[in-house]
Amino acid sequence: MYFKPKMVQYFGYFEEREEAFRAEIMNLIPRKYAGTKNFWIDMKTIQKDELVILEDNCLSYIAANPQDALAFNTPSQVIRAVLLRGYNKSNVYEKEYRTVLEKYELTNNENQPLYTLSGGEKVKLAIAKCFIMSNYSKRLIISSPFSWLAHENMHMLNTLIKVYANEGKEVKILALNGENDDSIVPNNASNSQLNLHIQFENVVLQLKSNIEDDDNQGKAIIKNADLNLKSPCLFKGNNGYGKSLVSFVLSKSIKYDGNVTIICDGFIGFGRMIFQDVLAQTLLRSFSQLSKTSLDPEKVMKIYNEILHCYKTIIYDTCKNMDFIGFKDLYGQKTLLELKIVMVACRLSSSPSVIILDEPEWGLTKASSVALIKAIIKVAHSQEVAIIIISHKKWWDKIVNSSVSFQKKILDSNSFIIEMNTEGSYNVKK
Amino acid sequence: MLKNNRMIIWILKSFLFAIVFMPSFTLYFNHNFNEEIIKGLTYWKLLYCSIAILTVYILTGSRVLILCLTAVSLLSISVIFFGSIISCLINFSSISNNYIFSYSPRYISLLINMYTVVPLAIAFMSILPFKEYENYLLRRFKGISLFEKILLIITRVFNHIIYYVAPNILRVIKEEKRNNDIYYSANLVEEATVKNYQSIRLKFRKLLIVFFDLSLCSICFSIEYVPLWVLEISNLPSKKKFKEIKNER
Repeated sequence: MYFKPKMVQYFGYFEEREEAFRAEIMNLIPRKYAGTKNFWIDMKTIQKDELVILEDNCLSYIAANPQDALAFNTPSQVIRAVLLRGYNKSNVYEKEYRTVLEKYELTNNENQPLYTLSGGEKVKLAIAKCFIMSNYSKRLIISSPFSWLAHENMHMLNTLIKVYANEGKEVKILALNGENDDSIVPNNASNSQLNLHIQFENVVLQLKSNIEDDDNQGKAIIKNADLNLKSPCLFKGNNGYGKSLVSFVLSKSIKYDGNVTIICDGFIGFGRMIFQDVLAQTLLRSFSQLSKTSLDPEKVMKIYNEILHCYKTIIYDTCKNMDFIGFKDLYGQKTLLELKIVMVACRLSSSPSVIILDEPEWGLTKASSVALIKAIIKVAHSQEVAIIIISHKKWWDKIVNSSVSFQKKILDSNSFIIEMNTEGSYNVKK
Repeated sequence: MLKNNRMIIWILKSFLFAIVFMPSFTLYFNHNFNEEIIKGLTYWKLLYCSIAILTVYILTGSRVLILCLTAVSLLSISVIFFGSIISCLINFSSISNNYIFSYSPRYISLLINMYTVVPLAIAFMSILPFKEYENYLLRRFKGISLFEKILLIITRVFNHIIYYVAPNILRVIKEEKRNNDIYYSANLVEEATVKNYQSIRLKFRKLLIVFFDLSLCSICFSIEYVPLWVLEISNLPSKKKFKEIKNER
């Protein structure tokens, strides 16, 4: 990675890092992780203080959820808006626009609504935006850029940092402990294995909002596949290759045509998932509200305590220091880590065949993520529930028992095919 | 601004919507066909509601129609159902047959009006070419006026609700729906029968909580990024005056 150590500021908690990022951008994002009460207090403060114009210190920023900083609905509009501030001749403007789209591999997503972009594609777009802004910005602030961006695209972030640093502009990266550490995590415990069989037959997804008309809309086709996997399993592939879309299909959180069959240890079942943006999935509900989303809250709390116990044991074994356990009483709210655990406990209480964890390391330190995943695998396997992890990190390579690599074939400007291949000794029948 | 064929389709659709909207604004026909089927519901109102729904279906398709009907049903729960309960409670001391006869037609009439006007309004919003207008503004070198900037912010919030807030909530609901499915399949038949009564009560309570949670989170999610967007949009170059453009030339 190209960055000097003094550029990076590390934090032990997601909430602390978010606070630091908010301070950099004049507290313009209300704290939704701090409960609805604090959210409204922040909104009132913003309203009272009026908008402090960041134009004076010309700041470029990439938020931990990059969508936060994108004020328009499509990549085309986001790029055009920043270009409009720097160019006033149409021929130069159009040329620069095309160059940026190609450079950041966004040509095929040009007019796609942000919502249909993958997390990594949003990061790429935010990087492209900051790159154009380097002409007139004086500072660059980035919050946790290492989670959603695939290794193949990390050079884009490097280039961006380099551009600002070479021009003598201030670069600040706010990250969580160990977030940019690529070393593989050793698997100390011998994992139990579960057989997981997933079959996709003629699955087609429409990439559009409910209110849009039918013309000119995109679709994603999942190529027929018969995957024989061993849990825990890792889904990997470049940004925008459809990993999250496939997990939405497996958990039936999205409407699709076709058939999907999930068999875990000989029993046909269903999938549940934890979204990439966990905070959006909580729908701002508190810890106790989340535990009550299941019809058996007692069972949820029992599983929660089981995972918590495993987590604490693992983290103490690795860090020998309980300061790293990742819980802190902030604003009287539970931390992101506790929310993640209770959400997994809710899902386990409904006895699914598989739980998919989309980018589980987002918002956690490396030590916390590793301990959490190991604890979840242990508890889930004891209940014969398989685990699928979606991640760009190499951390999990030795923890998982099988992996699926994703490929994308573009059909036209709106549609594409998702191909999945199992790695190692597991064959794909097509 | 728009490609020619899309422009023609948009103008045509807007024209048709304007025609169907006309009776709602003028209320002309309301007075001429006021024979009642039941108290509060006239033949004309029923016919007009059917025409409105049919128009929405023809001009925007089944997908938008389902969305409109869902939205109006949710709205009518709060406005009609809770509204009637609240006004009934307020007038509790004076409740009598007279009260029921005088208020019920009002709510029936309100319900049918909502099923007519709300789908038409949502469907009309769905055909407006917001995206094309945004694209047009962001290619214009003479700058963007204050009014256009306000329009951009409103459009952004609208798009955010349509493309992010609503689909995200739907995904979460669909994902969590499985909690309930499994609860019932895991229980024995006898247990299920015993719990049937409880489950109705529980379901109603849960429905209220979900309704409240969803409303709160929809509002929070819809406005959370507005300050940042306002900042970004306000930084766009302002519209130059005619004299400035002339001087540049």
